Amino acid sequence: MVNAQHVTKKYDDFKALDDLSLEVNRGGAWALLGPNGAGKTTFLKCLLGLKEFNGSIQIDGIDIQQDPKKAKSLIGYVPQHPALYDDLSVQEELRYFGDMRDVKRARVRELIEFVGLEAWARQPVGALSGGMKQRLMLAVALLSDPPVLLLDEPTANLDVRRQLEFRNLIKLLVEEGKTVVLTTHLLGDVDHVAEQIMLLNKGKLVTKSTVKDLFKQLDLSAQMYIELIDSSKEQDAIVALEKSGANDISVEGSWLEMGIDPSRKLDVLNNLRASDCAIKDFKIEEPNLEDAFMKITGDQ
Amino acid sequence: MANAFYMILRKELKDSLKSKWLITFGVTFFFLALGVPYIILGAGGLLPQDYPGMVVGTLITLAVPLVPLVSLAMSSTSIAGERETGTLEYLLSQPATKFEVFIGKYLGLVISLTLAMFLGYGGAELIVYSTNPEFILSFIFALIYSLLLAGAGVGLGFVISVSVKTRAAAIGTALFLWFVLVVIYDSGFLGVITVALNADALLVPLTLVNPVETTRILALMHMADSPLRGELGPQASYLLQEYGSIVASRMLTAVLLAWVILPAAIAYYIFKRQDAS
Repeated sequence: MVNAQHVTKKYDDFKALDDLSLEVNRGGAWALLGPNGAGKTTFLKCLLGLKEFNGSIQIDGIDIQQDPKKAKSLIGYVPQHPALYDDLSVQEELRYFGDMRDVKRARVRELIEFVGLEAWARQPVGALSGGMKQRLMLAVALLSDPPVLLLDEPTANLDVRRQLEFRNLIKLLVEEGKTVVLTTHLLGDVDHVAEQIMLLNKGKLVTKSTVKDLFKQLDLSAQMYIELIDSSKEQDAIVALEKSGANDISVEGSWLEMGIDPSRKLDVLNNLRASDCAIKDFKIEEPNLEDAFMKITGDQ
Repeated sequence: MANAFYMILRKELKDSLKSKWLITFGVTFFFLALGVPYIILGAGGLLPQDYPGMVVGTLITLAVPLVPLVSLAMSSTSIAGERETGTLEYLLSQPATKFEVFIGKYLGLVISLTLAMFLGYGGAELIVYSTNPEFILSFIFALIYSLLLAGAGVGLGFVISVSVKTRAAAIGTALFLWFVLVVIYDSGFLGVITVALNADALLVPLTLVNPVETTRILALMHMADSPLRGELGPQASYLLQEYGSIVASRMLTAVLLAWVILPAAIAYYIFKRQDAS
């Protein structure tokens, strides 16, 4: 669906994209990951023809440089920061961009409902919250029902609740058969939305794999801290923790500290209860994607 | 997808017509063209028969500096403003070519300025020339040349707009350019240079490199029979003496048309080659 070959983008002597070649198959969600300055956003903008570059990019066989209008008609784009006309109402904004794509009025109404902005349809866009604007941008991106969606850090500026809502919307779209390419710094986006990962560093593709394989390769583990009501149960607790897959278990004062697979957090708590080790308090530090990038790109 | 150009044009037109700059411009033009003395004299029943002939020269002198001020101010922020807010990038991510975005914005501004000038000039024209149609041709020429000057101003404004990144920088540069074209040129700049160098021949190129001067002289040259002919100044007198009125008029018209086309073409060339963000 997306085919980029030998894409190079230079700013004076700095290569933001360095002979980058990658293919994204039809359907599914693809996360474009990498540390800051890896070239993720630049690559998305090249896919949209927003930046001049050397090399070639095809969207469903249409070259973005040779026929930008046709290629862009296959793409819906949600930028990181809302970029809308604040003086237009929600409805007018959708109609404006909808008319550019020959979209019927009924589709506009349908999308306002889909993103849950019915009550705001006649309000100026400037009055919307950041989360609402992000949903509106998703609605604009979906106007002509394009097969490809490009999302640049779509949840970066949202609170936790809005992040979950937005991720659910994306999952729905993926289930409908859309090809979604998103850049993100949030592990939650990768974990909940993406199936495939493309890791960029210094403008080059470092690796491309499934989320599962990459997480295994990166050995991403959460740090978990548990305080027991009865400290005499410490040894029983350690045995239960080991059974739950916890590693590097250590005792720091009244706290037990360990590394754990993020998907097995509940197992830890259940096993401790089953072993009669009552928990007074616990804390979890989710794995940090930036550290993981450093690990893998540093290795290379 | 042919709608992109039309949609951008329509939005630019709507935004421009809502702009305070343009409303102020239209109203000011109306009163300039009508002439405050017309209202006072007309109210007292003292309006002379040749009033339109008297007012048209004053109108050109007053309107010619105003046209580039509004056209430069509005056009310079057109692309720079959208680049600053991110909407330009978003617009270009839609199925629209750079040419459609550029020409939609350019024509939207030119049409809205034309409308404001027609309504301003035209409304006053209907009132003033209903009393004496003798000088209507001079008035029509003044309007046409002012429209061409507005086109040149929009083109120059777009060169600024595609070259700077913020709205503030755009408006600052536009006002500086207006100051150079109107105020500095008008404050004896030409006279000082030609006298200092003792070279009358420099008057022609120095006039042609300024669309405001070109328009002013062109409009005044069409008032050959007007009592205001004496206001032509040294440049126009020199042009008429050297080339005759027909050649001089054609030369100035061609230069003014070039001022309309070239800056717009240069602005598009820059816009086409640059990244959207």
